[in-house]
Amino acid sequence: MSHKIKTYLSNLVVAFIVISSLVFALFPFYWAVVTSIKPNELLFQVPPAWVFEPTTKNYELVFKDWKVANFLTNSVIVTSISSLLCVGAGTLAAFALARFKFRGRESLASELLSIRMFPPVVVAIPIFILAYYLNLLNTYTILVLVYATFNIPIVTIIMRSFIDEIPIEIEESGMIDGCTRVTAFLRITLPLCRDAILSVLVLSAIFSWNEFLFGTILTRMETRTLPVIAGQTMTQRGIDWGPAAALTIITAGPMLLFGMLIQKYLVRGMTFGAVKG
Amino acid sequence: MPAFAIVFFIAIYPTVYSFVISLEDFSITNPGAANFIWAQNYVELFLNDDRMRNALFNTVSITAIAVTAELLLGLMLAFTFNQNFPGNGIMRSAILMPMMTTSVCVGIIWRLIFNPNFGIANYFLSVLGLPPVLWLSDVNVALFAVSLADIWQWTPFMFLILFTGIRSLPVAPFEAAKIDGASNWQLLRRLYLPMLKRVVLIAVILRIIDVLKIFDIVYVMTKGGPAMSTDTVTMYIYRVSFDHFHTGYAAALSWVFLVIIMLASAVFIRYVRYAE
Repeated sequence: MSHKIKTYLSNLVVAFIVISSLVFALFPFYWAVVTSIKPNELLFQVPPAWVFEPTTKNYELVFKDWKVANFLTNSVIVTSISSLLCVGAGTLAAFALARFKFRGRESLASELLSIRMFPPVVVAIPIFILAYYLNLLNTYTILVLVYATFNIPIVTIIMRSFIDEIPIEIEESGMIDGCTRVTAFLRITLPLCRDAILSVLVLSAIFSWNEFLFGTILTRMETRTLPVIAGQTMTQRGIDWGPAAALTIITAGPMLLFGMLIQKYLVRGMTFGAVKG
Repeated sequence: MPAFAIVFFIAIYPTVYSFVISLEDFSITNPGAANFIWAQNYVELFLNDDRMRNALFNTVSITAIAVTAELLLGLMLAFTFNQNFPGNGIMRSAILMPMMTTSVCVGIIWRLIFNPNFGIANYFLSVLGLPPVLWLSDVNVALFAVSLADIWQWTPFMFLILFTGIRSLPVAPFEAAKIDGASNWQLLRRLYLPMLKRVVLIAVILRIIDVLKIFDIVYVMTKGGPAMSTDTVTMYIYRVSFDHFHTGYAAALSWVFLVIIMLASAVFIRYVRYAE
């Protein structure tokens, strides 16, 4: 009997923890969405109006008056080019680190890792000056280069942890059958890494899309990305909450969906391969 | 290796260049007129800069608060979700959502929740019969409010890593201990925690390094206010260099901060190696 009560109690505790964590995790999203579709006159009502006729006015305003389509395009261009670039370069580097023995191999790996540890604000100053002298301020090029650079170490380290798991014998047997090193890599190893490559692609896209600091200092109106515009709605006084919430959803939404796609690889990605999921 | 060339060009070269700047009275507004002033920036920084001390204190406070809370909540969630119950998988996915949210958006959402006039946080307090709180404009509360946003965003990360760690443990020792009559508490203290040590270490140190760099959330929620009570090192460096244009001094600040972070990372790499 006492055993039964004990199980019952522990089930109750589990249910309580699960439900409250779900509420804590999801309520802020719910609230942002609700704010973005609430008619303006109900926005400041206390107690809040839980039931109301939803409106798309804020989204229309954001696209029409704030020209968000431009910034969305900027974000898409910068994110996609920089992700492709860093996954390409990072995969090759990972292959080199995993398959070739050369002096300083291990220290190179930890050097790459420490670049990831850099606080962006520390390199922001010299990169800003560099961009200024190279006439690259307010261009896609500088954003793409910066984002790719910051993500290459991550891609390299994660991809290396994947390639390390593929037995080198597969490549060697390919080479016996007449492949060169390069074709063995292209035809055998690369296809085996397809899922891994897709997941680092998504991961680096998430990092680039969400980046804020460099987006702020290296751009002017023409090349601003979405998070920068969203951040700028937070002025000290008189925030336009309806449209700001709509912009928040537009900014955060796509990467939330992408993130869900690569859940399986999220652990390895976010710990740079240190923990294998 | 083109990758290394780019990494060198965008990450290493600027770092060296920023060290040169930190020895000058360089300003972005007039880059030609910089004079070499030896270590004056560093002397000023170590002897007279109360704001840096304040920012450093705030940064460490936020880090301590957030990482502690994230670890405890993460552990609790990981063990909870390790049980079997219906809907486990889908609910697990749902609570991971905050960590994939754009940090700027996390800041905006929490600023919306903490709004003093119509924010939902104060409404919930009033439902419970509690007085309203000035979340982001009370000097004693703002730091916790900012930490809470970080906790909301990153507890899922802690949970995910710990959960993965627990799932990859061997089953046999736990079965054996249960047969020998070990209590749940004993299982936790004598088996789970020691076996999870490496994973916990990685998660905690990654989080520490990341929270030390916290910027987006602070920038959006408080810009370091009220009365500098949430001013972090990154926020301070940003202001000095991009609002006041004291670029040389900001570079010196960056270097000191960089050394601090590097030490933290060195500890990270060593501990992980050691644990392996």
